[in-house]
Amino acid sequence: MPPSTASRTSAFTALRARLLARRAAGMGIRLWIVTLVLAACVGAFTYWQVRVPLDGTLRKGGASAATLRLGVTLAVGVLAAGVIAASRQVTLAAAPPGPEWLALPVEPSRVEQHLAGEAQLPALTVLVPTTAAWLAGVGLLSPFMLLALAAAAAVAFLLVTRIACALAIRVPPVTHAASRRLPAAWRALVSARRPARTARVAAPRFRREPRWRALARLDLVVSLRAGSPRARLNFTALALVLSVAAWFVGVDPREQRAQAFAGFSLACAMLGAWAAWRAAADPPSAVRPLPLTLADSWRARAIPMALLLGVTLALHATVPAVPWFARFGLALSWTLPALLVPLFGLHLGLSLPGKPLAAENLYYGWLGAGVIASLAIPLFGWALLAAGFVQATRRVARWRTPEVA
Amino acid sequence: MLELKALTRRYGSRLALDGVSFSVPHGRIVGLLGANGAGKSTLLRTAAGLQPPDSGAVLVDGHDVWAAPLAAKQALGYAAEEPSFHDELSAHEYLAFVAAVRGLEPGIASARALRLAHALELAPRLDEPVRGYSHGMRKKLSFLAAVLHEPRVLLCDEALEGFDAPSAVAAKAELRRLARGGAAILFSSHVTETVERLCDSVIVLHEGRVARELGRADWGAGDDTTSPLERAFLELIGAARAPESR
Repeated sequence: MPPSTASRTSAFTALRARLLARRAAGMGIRLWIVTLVLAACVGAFTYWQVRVPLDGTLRKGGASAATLRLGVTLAVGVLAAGVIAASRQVTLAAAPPGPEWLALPVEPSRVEQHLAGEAQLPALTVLVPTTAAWLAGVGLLSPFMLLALAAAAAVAFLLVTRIACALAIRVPPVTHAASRRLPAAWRALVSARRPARTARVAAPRFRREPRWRALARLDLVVSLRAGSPRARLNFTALALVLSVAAWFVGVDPREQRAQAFAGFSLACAMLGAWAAWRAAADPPSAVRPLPLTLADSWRARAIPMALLLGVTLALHATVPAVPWFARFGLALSWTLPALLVPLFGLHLGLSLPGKPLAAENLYYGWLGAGVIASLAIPLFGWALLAAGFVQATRRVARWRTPEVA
Repeated sequence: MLELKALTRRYGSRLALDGVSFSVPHGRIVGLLGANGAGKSTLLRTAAGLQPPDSGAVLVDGHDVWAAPLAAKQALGYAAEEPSFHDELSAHEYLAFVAAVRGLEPGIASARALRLAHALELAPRLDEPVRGYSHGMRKKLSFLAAVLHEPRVLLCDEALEGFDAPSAVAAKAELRRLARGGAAILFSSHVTETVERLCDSVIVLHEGRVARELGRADWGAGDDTTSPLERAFLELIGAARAPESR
């Protein structure tokens, strides 16, 4: 007897519940604590960022202007959730998680709904700042208005993320004529697992070179070819160029210096993200049986990064806008972010072999916490990053035992 | 020579390897048979240095895989059951990297990679990114990378599954050539026919323990190293290719 619609619904509900439970359990207690602390930091930061101007608006423009302001803030949050859900849906449609859905007797709408549910999960992160923004209105706006805003935001969240997912799954162009008549979810699944189109590349030259340099060469090829690491490297290069160019824009030396430092710090942060990804992304079964050491893996990333940042620092130290003694001080003080941030990313990546996404998330988490901490208490973020660096460095030996890591 | 000494490995409460000890002498191809979950892949991954054992030791040419990993892995080749690669690289680029890391002479390594790629029918797609490869092609690449340096010890984890018939014949010929040259080969497979014809002896693994060691005489194997169906297939392929090549 074919399964009823109700039994399919309950099967999908049970699947979703189990997946959520497994993911929650898989995070482990430590990661939950870190996540909650980060959420608290982001929430507290957002609360004050919204509360103070909202209070000002209330005093100047009255309750209706303040309500409008809070409403717009919540709407921005909901729209951000829609963008996150849509981008996640595009990723999921390209490589749908789970079984070969097309081989199962399931309605297309149900699979689409399931994928949309999966895509909506990361959008939940927006709830942290949005809730904090809403809480900022407590005591300033009337309880009735706050409840109305909360209800409207909740409904809007569900609608916007669902619509965003529905649009996102329909975006990919139909490459095969026979697929045109299929429902959207089927179309996405049909084109998802097809072998990627491949173009030939130039044959490489076999070389004799130190192991770390072979690994660095491989990193370069992979980074220039792959989408995600390439984007980070491009962004790093752009930020480095802008940081040097900042000395030639504007007239106030302090302003120039601040802009140059901002560009340089951004470049260091992106380089750290690249290092975290690359160091963690070496496929175990291809790399582990090879005679490579932790030192090789470290050098392959650290030396090219040091060269790149060293050259940029030298350029900064020779710009004409600053007296010679100040240039020396500048180069010396900027060495801290140049060393700390990229090496922090590298050490995180080495300590999480085979888990590039986890390494990158953790890296961005620490970096975000550092930025928020510095905004709250000047320079406190650097102390936080230094603590993260020490922690990551202590864990680097886990590179040798990927399973333990 | 590959030596496994009292190798034990747990996954939580489940004992995957329970004091496994045996050795594979130079010049021998030893088969590893066992049901699903018997511990074959765990044993090979542990021997290849992909996961540490809870206790015991793996010696590759006298070097402990965990105490002296560089020396051990210099002598080791490992063809994975589910190979993973940097998918953005072409097979050729990956092989060039493996050759550099292993310190192989560039000219010789390049020529050998091409020769093996031709034998495994991988050559026409050697310069395409690995992400476009089928499962069988990925397995061929993993095998090719594992034998590129003519290892003293070779671990094959279901290495030939997914190979087409001509490539499987070429791979088996390469394995025999390596064994004749003194390599110690541990060959795990579910396909008893392959093990039966390829291996000099067999170790049967059951519930994480060595249940039995068998020699060719124990299963009454003759000198025939290809199956009748394999021969028939190759004759057909040969006949079909002959007009193409004219």
